[in-house]
Amino acid sequence: MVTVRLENIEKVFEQKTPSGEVSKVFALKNINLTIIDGETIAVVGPSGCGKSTLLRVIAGLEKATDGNVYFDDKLVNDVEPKDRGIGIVFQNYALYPHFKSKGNLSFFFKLRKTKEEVINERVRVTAETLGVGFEELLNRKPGQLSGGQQQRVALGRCIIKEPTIFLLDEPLSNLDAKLRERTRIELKRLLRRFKVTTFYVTHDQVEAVTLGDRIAVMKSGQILQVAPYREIYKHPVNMFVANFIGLPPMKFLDVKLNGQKLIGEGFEIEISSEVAKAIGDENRKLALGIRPENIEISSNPETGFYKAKIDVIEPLPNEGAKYVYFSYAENAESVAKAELSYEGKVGDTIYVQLDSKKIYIFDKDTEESIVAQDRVFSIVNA
Amino acid sequence: MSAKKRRAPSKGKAVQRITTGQIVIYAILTIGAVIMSLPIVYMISTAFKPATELMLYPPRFLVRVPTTKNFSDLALAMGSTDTPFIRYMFNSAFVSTIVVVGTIILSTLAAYPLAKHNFPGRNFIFNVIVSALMISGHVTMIPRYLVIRNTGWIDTYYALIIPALAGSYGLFLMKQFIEPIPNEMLESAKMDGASEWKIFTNIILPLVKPAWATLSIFTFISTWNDFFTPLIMTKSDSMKTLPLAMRTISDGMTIARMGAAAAGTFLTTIPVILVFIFFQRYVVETMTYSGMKG
Repeated sequence: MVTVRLENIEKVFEQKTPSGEVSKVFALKNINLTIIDGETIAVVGPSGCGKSTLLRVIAGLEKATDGNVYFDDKLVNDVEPKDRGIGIVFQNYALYPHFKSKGNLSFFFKLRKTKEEVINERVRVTAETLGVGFEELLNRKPGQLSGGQQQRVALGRCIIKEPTIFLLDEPLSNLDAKLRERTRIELKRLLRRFKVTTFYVTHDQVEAVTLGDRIAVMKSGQILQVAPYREIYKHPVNMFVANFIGLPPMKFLDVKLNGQKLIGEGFEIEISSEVAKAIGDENRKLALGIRPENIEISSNPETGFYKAKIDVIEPLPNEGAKYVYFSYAENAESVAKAELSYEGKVGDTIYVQLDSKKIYIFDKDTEESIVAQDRVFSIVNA
Repeated sequence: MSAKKRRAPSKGKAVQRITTGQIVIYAILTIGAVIMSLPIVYMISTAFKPATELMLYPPRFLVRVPTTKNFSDLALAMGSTDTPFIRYMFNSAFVSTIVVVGTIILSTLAAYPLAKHNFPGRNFIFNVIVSALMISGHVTMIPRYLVIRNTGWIDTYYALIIPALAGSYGLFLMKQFIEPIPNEMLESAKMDGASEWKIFTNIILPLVKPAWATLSIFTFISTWNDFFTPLIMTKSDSMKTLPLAMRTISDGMTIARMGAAAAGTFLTTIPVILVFIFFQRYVVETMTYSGMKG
């Protein structure tokens, strides 16, 4: 298939301020990304981070202000969208409401004046690929289909032209929770089967984890980190990524370095000399993050445990866990994962220990990672 | 309501219960509908009134002894001129039809780029067109007359048709209809390999077709009923349209002429009502389509 390479992509919108000055807004900034042949990259990020714009740049629906898009070694900046071999599914499906599903699937071929028999054969094969019940949708118009059915037709319209690249723009976000789960698995199966280079935009972590071979986290038009999920989860490059990936989101505690210890409000934690060295300056403002599963709760005082109060308890039977939101002090809150059988109640006093080998330390000013679990990021203090 | 009564409807299928509120609403709507239809009923009734009833004071609303004499009077009145009534009918129908078809084609063509393409000066062009909506037709009458005179179109069909095509209302309406069509749909078509023209004919046109009904009704009615334009743009009898011809009949109001005028008004109104009835169901469709998202 195709390897997609994005090189220094920049997309700038010019905006006129009320005073008449023209200010530049970066929708995409310095994007460098390679989607390897057959790989699925899931792009996550808050709304407005530029993930859909990036998809549109790859599709050719939007021209980048600067930078190059390569398919394999071919520069495609000036190649028309229709000639890029792309199949696309939009969030709102964008089916043609006046055509039946079959018409939606075959529009591509109709425009190319393909013979009716060939079209029918392609539609049949596509229907087969998309599984049970798809055939029945073919003679209905989008208005007569449910959201899930429309989604399948949109997917059919995407794959029928045998694209070399899939661009999926939040294709599941308009489905209800149950259907989304089912469709997610179905989609995974399809991606496995086709082995097509895929660019998958979503704001849903679970989708990103399920479908993406690698995940790209975007914010304000920039890609902050691209890596497989485990890697991003374990070694986020900054506070934004750490907070964005992982459920519930990572909480941060303000701490200061003091010798071999990190001192926070109402708690302390011993760290290794290596970590202390990585931090360096004792005046540096630091944020300490830790994943809920690396926090131990006890109802009795023990060494290394510090007193805290339970604020909220969130039972999640699906995950077989309870999330215990606690606070050491007014501005020192975090969340721990406990067994579903945990019996603590809101307002209870508990004793909490953070696993010093699993902590994340960030520079509070730059938000960059200094230490992430077992890895010391090569950030020498300024 | 007692518990017993409440339980009864829930046994079978959902029974539609009429509430007091609904009764009030329907009563108001009915009264409104009756009031709205009164002028039409009066017009029809008058067209069939004999002279004695026409002159009654106070006038009687419904006709007692219906007669078709008014229509023969009309034919007579018309017979005294060189131009047959059917000629006026044809003029009106011809001009209205061409204006309706032309307006639809031009408005849709012009509205698509204004609604869906970004090009320099787009907003300026649209604003100019919208401001034209606010200028009364009478204000532009004299310059329009001068333009037509200098083009040499006075007393021709061109004078009645071409300026009418430049109406901004249609463009405004079509733009409002094209705008809600999701851009992704057009982009999907583009990715499928459709050219701009194919997108226009295969996607845009079918989707805005219902809006044409609304536009057709408005354009047809306003052109058909237009009295002023033919009055200043035409000279000869053979170029007159119905409203203008009607005035010739009602000039010099004698009793006989009054009956003829009533009959003429009735005949003039029939096509408008027919057009409305024919397109009305599409107008409803227009409304359902305009609520369409995605």
